[in-house]
Amino acid sequence: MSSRLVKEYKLIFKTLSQDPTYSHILSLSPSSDENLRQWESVISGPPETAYYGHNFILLFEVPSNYPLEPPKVQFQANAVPHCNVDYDSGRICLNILEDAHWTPAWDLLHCVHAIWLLLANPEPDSPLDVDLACLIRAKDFSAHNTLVAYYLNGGSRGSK
Amino acid sequence: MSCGDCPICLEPLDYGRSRLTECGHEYHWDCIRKWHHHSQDLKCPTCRAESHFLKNVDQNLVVDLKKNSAANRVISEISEQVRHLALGTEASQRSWTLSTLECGICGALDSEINRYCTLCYSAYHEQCLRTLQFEVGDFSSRVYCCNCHGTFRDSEPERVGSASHRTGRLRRPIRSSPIAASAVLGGGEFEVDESWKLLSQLQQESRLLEHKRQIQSHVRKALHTHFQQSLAQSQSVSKGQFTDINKTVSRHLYRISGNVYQPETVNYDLEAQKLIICELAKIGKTDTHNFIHL
Repeated sequence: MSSRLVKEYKLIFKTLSQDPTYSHILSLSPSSDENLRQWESVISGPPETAYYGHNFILLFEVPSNYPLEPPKVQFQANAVPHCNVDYDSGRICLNILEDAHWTPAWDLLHCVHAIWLLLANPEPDSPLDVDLACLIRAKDFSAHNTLVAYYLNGGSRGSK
Repeated sequence: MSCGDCPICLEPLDYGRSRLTECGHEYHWDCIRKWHHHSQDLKCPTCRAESHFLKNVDQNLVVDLKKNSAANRVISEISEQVRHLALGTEASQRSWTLSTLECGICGALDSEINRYCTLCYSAYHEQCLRTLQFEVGDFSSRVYCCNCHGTFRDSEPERVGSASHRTGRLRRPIRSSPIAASAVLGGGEFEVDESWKLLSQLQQESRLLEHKRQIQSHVRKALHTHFQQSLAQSQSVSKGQFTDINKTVSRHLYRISGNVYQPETVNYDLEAQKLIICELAKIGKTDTHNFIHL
């Protein structure tokens, strides 16, 4: 299946350099030339959110029977305060990345785009960060955004 | 992604093109079967619509997916066995004495079972066996046991009495089932898929390739005749154009003959020449007089 990855690499390179709808994806490529199963991506924070102005690093691990199985994706640890992201590990809760919802018609670009959309549209009903989810559920968006901005600008989360 | 690519492997859909009948999305035969086998449902990867039928456009055959999803699992077991035989573990295969009175393919336990292998004591529905053989590309009229590959002697169908049900039923030792054995040997799900793919692909495609090769020989012959003449008149086409014409003409010929070489109904030499002229006209080399005397 690694021939699919090579094809995908070429396709993604072409799309990113030509299609302006993906301008928020600053990069998406294998981490090194030797290993096509480890990918890395940098996305910019969606506009009109507390994440705007910050860049976020995504780490991919592509399983050997990809695309039958979804890629394993996570944010860099201790970098992303978001109600569907586990801050300490960077783990992401997103249904299309689960075995039951994944389909092989999607590729890595779809995943990155979906995660970018998740940044702008937090889903408080399946939270990994309960504090942020509670603020969203209470519709206290200014508190939510302030808290996110506080963490993004180096604020301490205290001990867990 | 262009519409001519398989969404699963991203390769062009120029062989094994198959269409899900419900939504019309197209994939390679192997890719979509492999995905359905993996996902354990019959949904379309693109739109999630469930299709019960898959049409192989190349070979113009329709397969009932729902009926055969059980057969699929058996195919992976068989291919696993083939792998084991190749590894020289025949001895361990002998100890696998499946002897239940349920159909070895669909698993149903009913009185419809009408094939009974006397060599390894396996029972089957004849319908299941035939479907299975069709799936792996065996179109012969003979059926054989998919466990020991022995042929069935033509005997009176075994009636399954309810008494023998309870008492006369041996169970297969779990330890030596092929799947468990593969786990011990370090084989994974992925390898099962791979060998399954190999088995069906080899049988289906070798037949197809033979036909295509025969058709292609006619195209080559026509192309060479043509280009020897055009060379003399210093009208040459580039190597890329030559390959393109070869490809387009061959594909067209595969299509019109339904991927089966049938020299008695199709005049391949003549068809190839006509198509080559068409193709040359498209790229602006219309020296058709070359072919007038052919």
